[in-house]
Amino acid sequence: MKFLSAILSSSTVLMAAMLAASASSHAAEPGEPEIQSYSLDMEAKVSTDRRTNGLSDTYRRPGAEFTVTAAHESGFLGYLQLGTVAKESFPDGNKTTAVGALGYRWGKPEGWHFGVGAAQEIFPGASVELHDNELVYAMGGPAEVIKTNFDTTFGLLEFGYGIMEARYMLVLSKDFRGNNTSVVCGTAAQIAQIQGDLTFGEASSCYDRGYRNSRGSQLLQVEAKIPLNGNTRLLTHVGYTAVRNFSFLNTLDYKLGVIHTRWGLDFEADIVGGSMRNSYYANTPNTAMDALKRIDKPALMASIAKRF
Amino acid sequence: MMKRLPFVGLCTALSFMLTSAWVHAAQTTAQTTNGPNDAKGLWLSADKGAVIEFTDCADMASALCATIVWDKDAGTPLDTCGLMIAKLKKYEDEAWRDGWVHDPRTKKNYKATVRVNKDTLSLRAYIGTEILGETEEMSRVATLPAGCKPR
Repeated sequence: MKFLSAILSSSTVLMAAMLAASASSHAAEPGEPEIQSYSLDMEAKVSTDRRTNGLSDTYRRPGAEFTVTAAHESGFLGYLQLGTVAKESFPDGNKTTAVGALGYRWGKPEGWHFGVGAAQEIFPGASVELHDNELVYAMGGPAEVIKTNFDTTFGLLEFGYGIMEARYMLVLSKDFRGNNTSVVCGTAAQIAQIQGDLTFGEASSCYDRGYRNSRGSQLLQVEAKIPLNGNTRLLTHVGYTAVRNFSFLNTLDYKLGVIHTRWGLDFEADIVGGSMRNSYYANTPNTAMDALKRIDKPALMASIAKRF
Repeated sequence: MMKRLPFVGLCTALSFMLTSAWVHAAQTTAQTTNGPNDAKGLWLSADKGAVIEFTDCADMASALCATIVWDKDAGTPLDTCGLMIAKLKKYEDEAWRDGWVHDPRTKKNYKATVRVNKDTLSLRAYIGTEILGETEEMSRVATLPAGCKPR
């Protein structure tokens, strides 16, 4: 939260500087129009699912998001996205998430181009309290209650050539989306309980590794939007998430879709999915804790977006 | 074997994307054989809502100007017929540069470059540096539909 405050206050300062700069510069030459020195783009989007790195944030239910992107002629960018998430994946939250980012881009669009930045993802109110070892606790042994939230801080690098874009993200916060031993292994125990697996084998081997956090997790995303004609683009995306200390959560994700622009709206249809190294952990309990759903399951997704 | 599958998938997907991007890059590179006059003519906007004529500027023969010469909304309050939407002052590195473009929808002006690849014209509007922008692709048309009234 402190980091987000820092980012948001930096964004505010940056935006103020951008607006001040835009107001004071670019007085047009006679006969020439005044050129924008900054841009502010907004997009509202509804979709049949919201996925991050191939995994559903909405428990494979419809979602919505609103994105604001600000750019200044100096190359600095600000980004804020508000979206919906499911309580099944982010318990006790208010079913929303926010991602804020600040960065700098340079290079040529038709050649090599680069970017650096930092991002913060928050899930207001969402947290879980679990023992550091639920199996030990259940047997009457000593266990400490650990409260974990899902907020994550990233450092990011972008590089691309032409329409090809790649993004590398490094998790700087203590955990990547709440992945630590109490949450990951505790979830494994919940899955076993719902499945009626009284051996708790997966959870047991998970706890046996000792208490770990996931700072240092890495994400690589490569994508290209290939123009098919003036109104239609082919979207290809492949990503890999390497979760530090929890390599069985490493996930390959993919997306192949088409975006068509008509009547001022962007219509998108995608085949999207993920492949977790140990798919056991892609099972997510419902809020009643009596059923499971795979959140990495391949799906046909559709969305409609309006840009402002 | 199962554990290797994601990497096989990753390699396949990356190969597909690289191939697609390479094909696109090759097509884009092909435009580099074009000259400054290739941008001149009639171009249909991506949303097929307007035809834009690119030609020598009346006030500067060495520059390229773009004017809306057909608008599907002609005769309505949204009519943009006759509106000059771009001016580019020099041709350099296979692109028209050093100019501006006007977005009639937002009434804002941006820096611009124009590139031509056979029958596709790419108009890039940006702020500051070209990487901070968006490209609109237009397709060449031979004839002008009826619509705009002479001014």
